[in-house]
Amino acid sequence: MSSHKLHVTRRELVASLGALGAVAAVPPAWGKTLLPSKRRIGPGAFHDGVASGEPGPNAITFWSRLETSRPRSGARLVVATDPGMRKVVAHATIPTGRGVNGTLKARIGGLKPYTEYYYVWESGTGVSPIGRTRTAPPPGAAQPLNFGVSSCQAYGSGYFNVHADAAAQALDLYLFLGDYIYETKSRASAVRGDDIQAVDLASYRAKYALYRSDPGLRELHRLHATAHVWDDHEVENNYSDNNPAPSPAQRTAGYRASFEWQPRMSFPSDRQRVYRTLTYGGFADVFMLDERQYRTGSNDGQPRHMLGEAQMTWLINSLKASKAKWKFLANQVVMAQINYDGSTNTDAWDGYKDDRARLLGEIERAGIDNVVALTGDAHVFMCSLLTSDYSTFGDGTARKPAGVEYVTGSVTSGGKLTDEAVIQKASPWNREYNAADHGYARLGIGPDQLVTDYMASDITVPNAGTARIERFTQAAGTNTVQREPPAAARV
Amino acid sequence: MDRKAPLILAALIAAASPTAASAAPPPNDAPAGAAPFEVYTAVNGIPTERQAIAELAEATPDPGVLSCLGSASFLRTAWYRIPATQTPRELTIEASGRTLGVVDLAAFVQPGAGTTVTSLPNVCAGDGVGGGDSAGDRTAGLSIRVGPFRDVLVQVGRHGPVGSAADEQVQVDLAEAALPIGDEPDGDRAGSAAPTIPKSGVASVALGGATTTQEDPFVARCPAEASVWRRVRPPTTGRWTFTANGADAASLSVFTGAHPTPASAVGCVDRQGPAPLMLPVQAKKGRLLWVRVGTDRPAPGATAQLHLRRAVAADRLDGGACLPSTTPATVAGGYVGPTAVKRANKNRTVLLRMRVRNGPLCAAQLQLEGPKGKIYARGTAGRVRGTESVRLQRVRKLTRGLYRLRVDALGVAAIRNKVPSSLTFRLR
Repeated sequence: MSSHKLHVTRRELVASLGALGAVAAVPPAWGKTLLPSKRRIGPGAFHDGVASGEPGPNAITFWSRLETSRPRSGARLVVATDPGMRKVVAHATIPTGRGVNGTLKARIGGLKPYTEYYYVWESGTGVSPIGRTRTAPPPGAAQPLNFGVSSCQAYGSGYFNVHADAAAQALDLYLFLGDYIYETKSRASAVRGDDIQAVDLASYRAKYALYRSDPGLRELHRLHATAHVWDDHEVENNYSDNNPAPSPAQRTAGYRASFEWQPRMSFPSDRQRVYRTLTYGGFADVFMLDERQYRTGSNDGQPRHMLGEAQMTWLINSLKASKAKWKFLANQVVMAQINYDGSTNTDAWDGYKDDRARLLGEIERAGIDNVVALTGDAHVFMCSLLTSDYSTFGDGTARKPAGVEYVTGSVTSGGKLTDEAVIQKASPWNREYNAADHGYARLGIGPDQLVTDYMASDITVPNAGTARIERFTQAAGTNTVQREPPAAARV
Repeated sequence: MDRKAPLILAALIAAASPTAASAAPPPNDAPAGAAPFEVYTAVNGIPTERQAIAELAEATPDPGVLSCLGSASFLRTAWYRIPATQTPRELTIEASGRTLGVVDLAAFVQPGAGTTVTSLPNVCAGDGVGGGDSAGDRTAGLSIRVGPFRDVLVQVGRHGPVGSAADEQVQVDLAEAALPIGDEPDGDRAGSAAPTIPKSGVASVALGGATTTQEDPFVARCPAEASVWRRVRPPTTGRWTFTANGADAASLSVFTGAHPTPASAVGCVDRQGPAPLMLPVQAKKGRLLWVRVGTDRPAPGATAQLHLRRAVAADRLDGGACLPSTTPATVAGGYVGPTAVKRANKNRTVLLRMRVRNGPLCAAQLQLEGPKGKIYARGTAGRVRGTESVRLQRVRKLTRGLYRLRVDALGVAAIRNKVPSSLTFRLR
């Protein structure tokens, strides 16, 4: 255990992996006098808000960032059960420094399952906004859940109004499915200015700071626990096509900034691994996937694989072992075969058909029901049925699908405007297609059904309202969906 | 291509990779072979940072070079040189690898261009320093301000058992920003030219343009990007207290000996909050003390007020912050003074002895409530901890009867709360 003292109140407190700091090797003349004897707070301001993430039944990862000129600093995290911060259940001093861009991250354990908590960060000169979060239900609990899901939020393309709407909803988890940032500058005609071309560590960090300056996004992070998987724009557009091959330095910079700015802990043996499982009681397992980092086969002379063998094996085994009613794939790129008016997107699973057939085939052969792909990347609201073999699938009514895919729209990024009828003629397993609207998906997860609402907002003006534009109901065990008539769904 | 072809290809790539080829130490294993940082390309723009990839699996330690993170640090090292420029600059160096194993980093400011002097590490980062190394993402990073015409050598190391070649690889980023050209402040170097603190014990220390030089020893507990030095010989043996006022004073360190070295540090304090830094140290009459005021962003005109005086009992190491306890505080204590109303009213103030449990009290507002529920005295206290005397300003004449101290103070999240107080007394 670390020499850093953790203060514990009533409950066991498990701070970040950083508790493993080593000072034992320091020679006496230095160690006693010069190395820090304990974690200390320092000066700094919390300009980038607060966040929490990846909740377990007993633990949550808390995040903020300390803006300071000090090479090394720290802040105190206080967790309470009341918004007045009087009923404190845990507190810890969390170090930060230049090497992590002043970001603060701690995973606090010993919390009660499915309980609302409030938290605040305090430095020697500042106090963060008070955040709110919630732990996951205990394993196996019959607890209905509400999730929010979005992707593709180009800052310059519009206002993140839907995030403000999601912040106000009663959600247990909010999932970001990639393209949380866009590495490029915004165009001159953009709704909002973004002059940052992210190419190195400093510019990726600056990009995250810009995005977090959006009040809707900040409020969403302040009020809900989140989980994030990256897609391509966290590094560079379609960088995994190796055309040209991105420099390792740029990839590392993008990955590193993403970890620094998200409430996500690293695996000790692999700091850039994002694929993992989040378990939510008896109703939901969420499999966070990485569909960029391990790709092979695009101009690199290797067979085409989307997930890499280690991740694919992990996913198949995890799905087979899952006891949850609903198995959600936090999936970056479109999984269903979709013919976009004569073309397919080979950057999506359509370019990795063998991997898709393998994954969905395993699901079908194992008889795993209620697999739901939640998908980003395409900048459309879409719903399709999944199968390992589309050549004989037809409209999906003759054979039980492997699962359902909900493409949850884009927060702001522009999509490919194609008529739904055109899409469905070429891809009859498609149940909905809408590239005109922008927003997020709201999932109501219960024992008998999954209700998915598509929520949309005008992105061209700040503070525009958000409305429901679609509703799908998926009865448990059917692996198919009922779409409410669009007129009835719009609320 | 048959199914075995990719495996064969992978094996060939592995055989040709540095992993397999690096059975010998890397060419930049020693300071004399220090490699440059390289520019790299990005698909969508031009990075301003430079990078280095350190392959440490076969690297060796550096005999004779002080390992600034302890004898078990820097067991496998590679070296890089950042060439001098004609302007002062701020260098930020960050290092990480595939795992969360924290990289050892040290910077050695050179006396000039092309020199290789590794006698004293000036800034270090790594396990045990207590910054990014202890954070969730566990990386090493340092920033340093250096003057013009000075190379900087960077030592990148690993400690602990040797891992796989991939786990031993380190990516090092260098960001370099030019600083305005200006005169270096008095005492920028720890040498005979460093000014002495006058007998009055008060010195105004200019910090603008301060840099880190080759004489500055690394002090992990009190890091700073740059520093300015003063010298003093205390007139008597005993405890002496240094204080530094001014937000630009980021740390205060005191060394003894002919030259400041890591081993000659007698104490330091790191800035935590806005209040003055306080550092009591034990000193011997006439023995030279080196006083270092650390600073991070020394803009032109930045100054600190340095004070030296004999210590008093209440002096303690203080980084200038007040962080309230997460356990609600309580106040007890009593009145200090005459209990006869007539005599008590001779003073314009009311002196109380406060005992604070679960302190400190931060930004406390104090009201003395007396007979008929009226307020008789008021006061504020920036920080009260333990047992302290507090003087309240009398706002009306005291009368016979029972008095109770009402207290409120900032609690967690800077929310102002009432503090339970049992401090009562009776005047007759």
